[in-house]
Amino acid sequence: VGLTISAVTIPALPEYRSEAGFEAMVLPEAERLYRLALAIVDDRADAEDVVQETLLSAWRRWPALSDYANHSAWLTRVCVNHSIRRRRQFRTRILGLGDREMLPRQPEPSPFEGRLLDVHRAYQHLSPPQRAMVTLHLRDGFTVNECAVLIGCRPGTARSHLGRAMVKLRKELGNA
Amino acid sequence: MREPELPDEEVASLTRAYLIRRTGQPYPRGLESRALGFVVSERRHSGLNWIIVSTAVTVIALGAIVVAFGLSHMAAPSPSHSAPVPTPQLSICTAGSVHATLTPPATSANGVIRYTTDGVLFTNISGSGCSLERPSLMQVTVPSEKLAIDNLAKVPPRTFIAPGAAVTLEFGSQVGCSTFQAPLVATSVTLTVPNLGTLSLTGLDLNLTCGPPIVLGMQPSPSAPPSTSPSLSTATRAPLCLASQIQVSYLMGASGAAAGNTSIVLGIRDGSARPCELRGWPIVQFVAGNGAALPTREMQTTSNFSLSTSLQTVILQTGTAPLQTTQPIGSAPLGSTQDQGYGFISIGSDDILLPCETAASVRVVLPGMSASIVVSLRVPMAFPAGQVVCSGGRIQVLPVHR
Repeated sequence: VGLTISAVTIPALPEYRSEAGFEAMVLPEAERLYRLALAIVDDRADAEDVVQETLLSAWRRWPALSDYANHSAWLTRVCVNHSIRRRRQFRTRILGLGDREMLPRQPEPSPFEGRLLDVHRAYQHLSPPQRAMVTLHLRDGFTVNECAVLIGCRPGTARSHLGRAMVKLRKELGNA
Repeated sequence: MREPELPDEEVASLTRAYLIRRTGQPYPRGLESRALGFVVSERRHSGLNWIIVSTAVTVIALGAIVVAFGLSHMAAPSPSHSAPVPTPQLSICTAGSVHATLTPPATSANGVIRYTTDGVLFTNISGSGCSLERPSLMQVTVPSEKLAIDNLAKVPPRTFIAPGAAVTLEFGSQVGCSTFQAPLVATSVTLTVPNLGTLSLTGLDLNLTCGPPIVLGMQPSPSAPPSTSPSLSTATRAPLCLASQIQVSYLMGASGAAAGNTSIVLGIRDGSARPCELRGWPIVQFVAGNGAALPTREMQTTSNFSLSTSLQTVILQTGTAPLQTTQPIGSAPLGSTQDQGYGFISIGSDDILLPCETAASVRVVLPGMSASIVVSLRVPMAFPAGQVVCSGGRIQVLPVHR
C-alpha cells in the first residue's frame, strides 16, 4: 500500500543512505515518535524504549529503504508497531496497573480536570490498535485511510478500531 | 429515562485534550543520541578484531619509520632551530568578502512536515575562500514584536564558501497547523554574525502559520544570484500574486461528493494586466451565514479522495475569462486546455464524525499573501445556504495546482 501523504519524490541517493543522511532525516523525528509512543504505551520509560527500538530498526533498514520521501510515514509505522507490541507485553506483565504519572493528582480537580481523568479511565480500556487510531486520527489529524496505512491494516479495519474506541470512550464518559 | 448520548465531537475534543496533556510531558533530551551511541558501540563491537589487527600493523609501521628517520639523521645533524611548519590559515568571512541577500520564499517538505521557507544567501565576492561563522543572534520582525530564532545550534559552527560560491541559511515556519491561525507575516530578518557584524535585511515576506520560525539548515547554493536560478528559468517566472489582483470563485461543477467524501474546488483567476505566480498551500477558514468562524482543521497534504497533485509553481495568465460558479461539469475550467492560466484549490473532507455545519463562505489566504479573500459557497437554486462541512471541520487541503 503506497502512502499518499507526500508526493514529493526524493531519489535514493547515496547521501541519503549514509549515516549523515540518517542523522539528518531520522533524528529530528525522535520527539514526534516519542509523543506517539507515549500515547499508545502510556508509560514514559516504555515510550523511551519504543523510540530506541524504532531508531535501531530504522538504522538497520535505512540503507535498503527505497523511498526517502515518505520516511516519516515509514518511521511512524515502525513506531506504531513497536508501541503495539510493547503495550501487549505490558498488559500481560502488569494487568490493570496504570501509569501513576498519568495526570498530576489534585485533591479537588476542576470539572475539566475531572473530565480528563474520566477520559484517562476510559483510555485504559482501549486496545493498542484503538489507541493508535485515536492518537493518529483525533490528535494528529490523519484521515482514516492514512491511519490505515500508518498502522498497517485495511481502511475498514481502521474505521472499525476507531468506531469501537469511540463507543468505549463515549460509554465511559457517559457513565462518569 | 435514558440520558442522551454524548455527541461524538465532545468525546473527540475531550480525548484530544487528554492526549495533548498526556503527551505534552517533557521529552527526554539526548534520547536519540543514546540510540546512536548504542549503534556506534554495536558497530565497534562487531569491528573489534579488525581494529586490533589494524592498530598492531600501524604501530609496527610507525616504529619502523621512526627508526629509519633516526638513522638517517645521525650522520647529518639537524639545524639548531628548524623552521616552523606552516599551517594553513582558514580566513574568516568578513563584511567586505561576503554579500548577504534574501532568497525568494519557497516551500519545502520533510515527509509529512512541511515548511514555508525563506533564506539568507551569503555570496563570497572575494577572490579567496572563507569560512562563515555561525550567527550568534537571529530575529525576525513581525508587526508587534521581534521573534528570536532559538535553534541556531543547528547551523554548523563554520561553513566554508569557495570564491564566487554561495550558501543559504534556510529558515522557515511549519505549515499545517490543526487549527486556523491568523497569518503573521515577518517583514525583516536581523542576524548577527561574528566578524561580519549585524545584518538587517528587509523585504522578507514569510508567513508564520504555526509559531515562530526555526532554522532549517545551511545549504550550498548556486553561485549565480537567485533570479537566475537554474531550477526555474526567467522565462517561466512571474512576480508573486497579490490579493488585489486575484479573483477566487467556488466551482460547483468541479466539486462533488462520493462515498462519504466531499470536495470543494475553488478557481483562481488573475484579473490584472500582469501575470503572477502562486506556490504552496492556502490557509482556509469556513464562515457561517452570520459571519461566525466555523471549526476548520486544515491538514495540508498532496492527496485527497478526489485528486492527487504535487507542490508546483502555478503561473496565472492574464486575459482569462471570469470563472462561473455554475460552470457545467466537463466544460472549462478543469479538464480542458481552456483551463490554462487558472489556478485551483481543492478541499477534501470526510464525514466520519459529527457534527456537520453549513458554511456560507470560505475565507482563503493564498500562499505568500497576508490578506484574505472571502469566497461565497452559496449557489442559488442548488445550495442557497452554502456547503455542508462535516467531521468538525477536518479538511485536507491540496497545494494550489493547475
